[in-house]
Amino acid sequence: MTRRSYGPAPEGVTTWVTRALALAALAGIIGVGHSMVVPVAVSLEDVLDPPAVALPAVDPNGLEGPGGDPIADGADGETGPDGPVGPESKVNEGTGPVPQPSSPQAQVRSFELDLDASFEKWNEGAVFFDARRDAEFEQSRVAGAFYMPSSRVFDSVDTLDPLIGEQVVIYCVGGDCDASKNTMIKLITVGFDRGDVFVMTASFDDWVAAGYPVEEGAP
Amino acid sequence: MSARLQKYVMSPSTTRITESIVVLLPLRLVLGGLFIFAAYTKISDPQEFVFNINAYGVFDRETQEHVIKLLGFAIPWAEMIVGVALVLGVWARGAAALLALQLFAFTIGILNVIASGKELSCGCFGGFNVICTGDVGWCHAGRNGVLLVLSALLAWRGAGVASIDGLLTRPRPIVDEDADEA
Repeated sequence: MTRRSYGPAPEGVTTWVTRALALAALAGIIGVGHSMVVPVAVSLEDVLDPPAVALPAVDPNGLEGPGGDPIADGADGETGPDGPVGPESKVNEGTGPVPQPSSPQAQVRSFELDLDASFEKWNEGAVFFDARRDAEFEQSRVAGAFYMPSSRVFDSVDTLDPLIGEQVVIYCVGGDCDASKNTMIKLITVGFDRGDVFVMTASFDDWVAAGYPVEEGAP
Repeated sequence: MSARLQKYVMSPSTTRITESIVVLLPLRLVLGGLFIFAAYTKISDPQEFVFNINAYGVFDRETQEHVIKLLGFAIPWAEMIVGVALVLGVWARGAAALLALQLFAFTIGILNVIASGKELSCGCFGGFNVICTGDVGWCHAGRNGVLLVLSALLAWRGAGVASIDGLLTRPRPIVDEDADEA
């Protein structure tokens, strides 16, 4: 006796594996096409190049070194004879032969500012960009800071354009937070000078703990 | 319940229809919609997603930059294609298998981040948080694990009859060999 039941035609493993591969290939083809038409130059270039150097290697005569250190551009500005930041700041100003760092703690990069140096920039009138999440920004932020995560930069070109030429300090949650650096790279992409853009290595919480000015509530 | 009604309710086709509508269709819509959204957030900002891939540290930036950039564009489109295929029910088993493969890879990346102690944002849904908030952690790994199981379920069971796959698949008689032998 034969019992007949009806259902969908059986689909072999080979069939759906082949289809999965076909979908992956299609995604790759579309992705390549997208990369060719996207109006953004995707880059992994590290804006920190040349990389970390030891703090003791500061050479005031080396500001115009062959590496074209970003800070060299900023040194000609309105920040006085000591360079763009005060002597107590941890900004690297050396661009000569790159020395070996003496310790991990001594490694800083040319765009990085510690807490005090950042506050000094704030006193000088630098523009502060908050690269944290929007809820965190709305809760509290550095006084006068603008909300500018990296995802917003390309949509804010018109807003940012008048700020080109100003000194900018970006902060996020500190530590290994990449948000500030991502915003920095995009700001440089849209026209900001490398020497004008800095990242505060300290966190916003550190800023608050130091008693520096903050704003709270919706901007 | 009459024998005739019981036979109808318990028949394979009825069970499959019920499974399709109650389980597979909602699952397809949820998973597909979720990954269409995830893809949209990444496609709209490829630079950000490339940064995210780089931050995970799975690939060496010096020697594998081209891979990072290619994945920065291919992964979002794979998510988009898989999401649309699941919602419509086209090549659903293949799409679900590809989705499971992606989720497996993402989970490996997340576990790598947890093991290394890095603090970085997931980037899974652009700037949005879905279920998990904060930096990459066990919540993200667990969420991906659940999604992986669900996508594997779809790869196993297929789209069901309430799908384009179901409509295009012509019903065929299934011969019960055991009954023949009896």
